[in-house]
Amino acid sequence: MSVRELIDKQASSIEKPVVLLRVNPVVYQEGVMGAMKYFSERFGMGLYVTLNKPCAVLQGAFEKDGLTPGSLVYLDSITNTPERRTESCHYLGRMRELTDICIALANMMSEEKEVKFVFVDSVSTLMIYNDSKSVARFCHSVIEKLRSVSLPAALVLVEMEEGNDVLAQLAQFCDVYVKGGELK
Amino acid sequence: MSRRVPGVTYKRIDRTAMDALLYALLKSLDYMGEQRRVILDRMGSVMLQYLVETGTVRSPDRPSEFDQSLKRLLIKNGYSPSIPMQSKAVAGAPSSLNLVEILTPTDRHLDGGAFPKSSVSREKEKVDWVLYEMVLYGMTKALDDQLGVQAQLILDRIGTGMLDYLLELGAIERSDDPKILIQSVIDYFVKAGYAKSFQFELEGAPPDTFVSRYESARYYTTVFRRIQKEGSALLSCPLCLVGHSIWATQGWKFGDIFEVRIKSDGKVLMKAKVFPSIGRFTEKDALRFSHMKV
Repeated sequence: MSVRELIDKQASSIEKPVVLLRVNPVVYQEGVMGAMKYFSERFGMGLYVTLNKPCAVLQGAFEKDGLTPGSLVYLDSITNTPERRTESCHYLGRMRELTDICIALANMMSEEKEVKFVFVDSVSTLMIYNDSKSVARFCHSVIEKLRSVSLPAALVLVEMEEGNDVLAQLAQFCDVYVKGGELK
Repeated sequence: MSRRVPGVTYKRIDRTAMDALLYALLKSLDYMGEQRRVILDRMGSVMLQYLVETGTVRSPDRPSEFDQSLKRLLIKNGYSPSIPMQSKAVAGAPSSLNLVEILTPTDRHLDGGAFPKSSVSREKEKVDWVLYEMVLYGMTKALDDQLGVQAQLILDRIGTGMLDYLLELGAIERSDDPKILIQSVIDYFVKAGYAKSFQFELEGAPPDTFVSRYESARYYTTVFRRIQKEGSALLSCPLCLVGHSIWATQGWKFGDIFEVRIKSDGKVLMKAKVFPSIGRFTEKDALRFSHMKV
């Protein structure tokens, strides 16, 4: 089953699902793409929190894969640029503190009223610079905030030993846990 | 702290350094089981591409010349002259090994992941630097293409694996004192031919910046410069990765590299954020966020 099918199977009956998606490194990109398509088609406009690949790279990849241009706004904390805002992206600067990401996320959720879901890619990236306890607390706070405004969401985690502590904690906060990406 | 060795040539590097890198690379991907091969094949392809682009081997467009030049390079450096399968130029060749596996110490193939206890340090044996940088570039580029910056977690694990390997071999002396251990690591890499010198210092009170200074650091003039131009934020400098794994045991993490100056003679100045690894998002931060209106 594809990641998209796996999510659909488990999340379709939930009105505003918060999905924790754990993907195998080998199929990480396909997994993210499948999940994005599911959320985009089901909910419409999304806010993509990119911590892992620059927004410009993602935009190109999504467009190539048939995702409607303009169906996403981005919060980018990976592109090496001073903080600035464009029509479709809030560049936060590379690898900013978790508190900075929180504030920017809250501001974007407040300003971008047409946003119908949030996609966090990826929780694993946060593990490079933060301890698992801080990452779990950050994710919990984000999920609580999303639930307070009834926004569905996906949080991506790549299958690695480093994320095991966080995975165990996050799975409790989310509605659905999908393990995707068996090699075909 | 510093270490200088005059007259070191940087066309070759100790084979032990190469063995440690390959051993740690394979070990870091062990958890993926059979799927590891997919990543290794991608790395192998990029490595071959690097050799072709740097003019080290002939283009696969001329299959026999490519085959011959690659075999010559491998034999010259003491490796089996097996040709990797993923090259279209050699489709159908009997070897099914990946380039990474071809270069990896034989005992690593045999024991399937256990420590190379029977191995001896091969400090007197050297390999061409271009092969070492080919592995560094290939693994970094393939991981970045596949996973983006989160691949730094795998690279950091490679650092830990290299340290384990070098300690086990006795190439680096064990010490419970992290300062002594770090100095041993620096001494090892300088002696191995990784760089002519390396110095570091911490800036700030409390410390928040790690300043590195290298002389004749070939990794930075070739691999690092290239992957940065290609948009990658990954750091695969072996000395840094091993160092990070020691600092991590003391509760320190390394953050973004916010300043890099690389001169063509290999002089490098690099500044990176450094911070305590715990307490980066506290209960207080969570509470403040929960009070923000959306």
